[in-house]
Amino acid sequence: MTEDQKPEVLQVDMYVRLPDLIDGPVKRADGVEFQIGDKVRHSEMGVGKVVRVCQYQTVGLALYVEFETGKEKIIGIDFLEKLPNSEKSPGGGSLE
Amino acid sequence: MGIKQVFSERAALVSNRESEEKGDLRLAGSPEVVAMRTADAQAARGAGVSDVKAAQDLNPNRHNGSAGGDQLESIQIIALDEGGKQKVVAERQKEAKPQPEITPEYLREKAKQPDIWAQKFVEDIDKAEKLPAPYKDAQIAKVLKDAEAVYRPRGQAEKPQEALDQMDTGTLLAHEVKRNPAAEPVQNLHTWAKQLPEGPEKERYSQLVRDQMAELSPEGKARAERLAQVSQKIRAAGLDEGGVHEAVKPDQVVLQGHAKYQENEWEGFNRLDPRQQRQIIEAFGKASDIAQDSYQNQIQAVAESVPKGLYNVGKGLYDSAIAAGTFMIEAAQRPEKIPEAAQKLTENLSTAIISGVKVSQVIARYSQEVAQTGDYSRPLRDLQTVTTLANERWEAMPLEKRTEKASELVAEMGVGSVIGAADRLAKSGKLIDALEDLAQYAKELTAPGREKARQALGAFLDDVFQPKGLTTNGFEMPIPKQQRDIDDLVMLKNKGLPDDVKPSEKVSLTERLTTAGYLEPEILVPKEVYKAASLQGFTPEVVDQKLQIVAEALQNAFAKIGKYDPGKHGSERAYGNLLHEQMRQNLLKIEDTAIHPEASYLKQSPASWGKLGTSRVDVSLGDKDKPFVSICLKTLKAVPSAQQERGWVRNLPRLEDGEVPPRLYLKLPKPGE
Repeated sequence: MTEDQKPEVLQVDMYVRLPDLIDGPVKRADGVEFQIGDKVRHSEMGVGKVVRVCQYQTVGLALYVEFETGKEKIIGIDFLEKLPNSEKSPGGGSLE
Repeated sequence: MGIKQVFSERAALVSNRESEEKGDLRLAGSPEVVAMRTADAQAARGAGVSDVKAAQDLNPNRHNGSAGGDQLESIQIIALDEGGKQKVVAERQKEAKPQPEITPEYLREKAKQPDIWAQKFVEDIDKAEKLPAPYKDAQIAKVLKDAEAVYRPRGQAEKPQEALDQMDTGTLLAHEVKRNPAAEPVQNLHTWAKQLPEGPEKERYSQLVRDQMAELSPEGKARAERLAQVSQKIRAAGLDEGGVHEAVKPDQVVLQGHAKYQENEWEGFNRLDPRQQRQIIEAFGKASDIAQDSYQNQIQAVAESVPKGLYNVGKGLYDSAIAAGTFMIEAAQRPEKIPEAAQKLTENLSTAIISGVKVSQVIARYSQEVAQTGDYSRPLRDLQTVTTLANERWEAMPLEKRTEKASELVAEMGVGSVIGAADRLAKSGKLIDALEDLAQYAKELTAPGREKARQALGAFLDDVFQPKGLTTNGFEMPIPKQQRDIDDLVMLKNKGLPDDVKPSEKVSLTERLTTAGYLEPEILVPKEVYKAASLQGFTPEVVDQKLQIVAEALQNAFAKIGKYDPGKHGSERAYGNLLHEQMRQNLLKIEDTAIHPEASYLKQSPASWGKLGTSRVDVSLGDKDKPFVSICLKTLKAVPSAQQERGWVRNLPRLEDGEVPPRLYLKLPKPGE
């Protein structure tokens, strides 16, 4: 293999497009309002709390949710069900 | 038998006399010649090895092995240098075996022994001989060159015996650094260890230097061990036993008084009294439009003993002081100009500090003089104000933040191996003093290394001065952060990387929602990454999946930490570190055996975290010992340093085809971009 044929070390810059993070409440098409701290439910992940509201150019509004299982996910706003904040999770022993 | 032989020899002599000339007769009859023809002499000529050894054993002054090696190494002259270190200045070298010339015949002979290398070379020569004339010679020459590399390791042929045994550890390291840049941190550690007071701590770090040098180079290890043996023997013998003669070179004594000026003009400057120091600095202000010669004349007028080299010291201080004054004036009158003024100030201050100027000492002396005389004049006043400001801001930062910043600075200055340096800087309430101490270690860096250290120091000071400016009224004003031009941070156009490292290609990541509503990053993976993965036994599907996991971990980290907020996160660097750590935590939680966050490598093998000379990648994918891609997260326009990039190329394990795995930079834009 000559010097000209020698393969090059590849470097790739992968630009990550970040969402806009929204502080205030956001309203879904059906009128349901979400904001940071809201309790939500996802069909697969279960119950969790909204930590961040993200606005993507591509997919629109999505919420970053920390689930009670310890997992975190960013999920489209249309795929979440808002729970009343007073609703306790199963087995919860709050003194409220 | 002896008598008979003597008689016969004499008879032969007599019989030959008639045919010999007069001169020959005199020569033949001389006592030496007669002695050489005695029976004892004849017996000695025919003596075997055992007879020779027996005769040597009778020698009461024979070599006892104390100098190491064999009889051929029995003489060593060891002198103490100015630092009290022993150096072997001369010794009887081992008789070097004559090196045979590497020829086809030599190789054929070796191949019969048998020698598998020689057999291979002979095979190649046989093939080459069948080629047409012009190609034949070239091919044979190539085979012989390869053979030379095998039978005469590099350097052996050209340098029969380099005087490396005569070097001390510092010189050995300097020699090693030229061949292997990975030795640079070890060299820095050595510099640091050298200045420690004599004692167990110094010995421990010196041993650490030797150990690390041994890891870097077996050749260096051998030399260091040899040096250690010599030192040990000298210590064991003691100076009083007559084995070592302390030689004092008269020329060294004569030069002692001047050597320091030649080494560092700052030290000469420091000998002046405060009034003289200030006059030198003011000379620049008084004669702003005249030539350098005039400055020098004015400096000479201050004190005749001051060498002309002090021009640089005085100029460095003056420039820093003027920049300090400008910074304060702008803070009071034109806040929009503060970033520019702060940048100018930090550039001048970092240049002065790296060149060895002790700003803090000048300021301290100046303060004493002010207290005595009440002469409170510029430009040192301004410099004093900004150094006080820097110290106050540093002290006001939480220790955790100071530690983080100090660690970053020490690493970027290329003095990361100086143990405890970051800690000392973090804990010091006197920032400028601590930076001056740190700058000492940069002295032994190469010129580009020093420039990089200066830039790192400038960026660090910039960070200290930029957030708030002090007005002449004593008000602190917020200052917008100014991003440095990336080109300024890259000293070398190709960062010293091999020519086969391509400039980065650019790919944008996008995202989509899965049917369950999960946000899933979409990545256009370059085909070279698939190819690299395939070489290591991974399918394109696995590549896509692993990259998606990494990108998702990054998205989640960003969502968790939030946008960069200087008030909340501190410096951009601190924010970057936070994001790195969060992404690492996210990936660790997933426990994927083909995803390795914060993987360290040394000499193309995995290494433990933090080990000297290692290169750490944010993520490597594939088998940890043979990854197919390395990933580097870069936030807010951060760029990898040239040292980092060279380290990756050197230390990352190679792909199956011997090439360096592709590197992906996950780049996060600045908010609003």
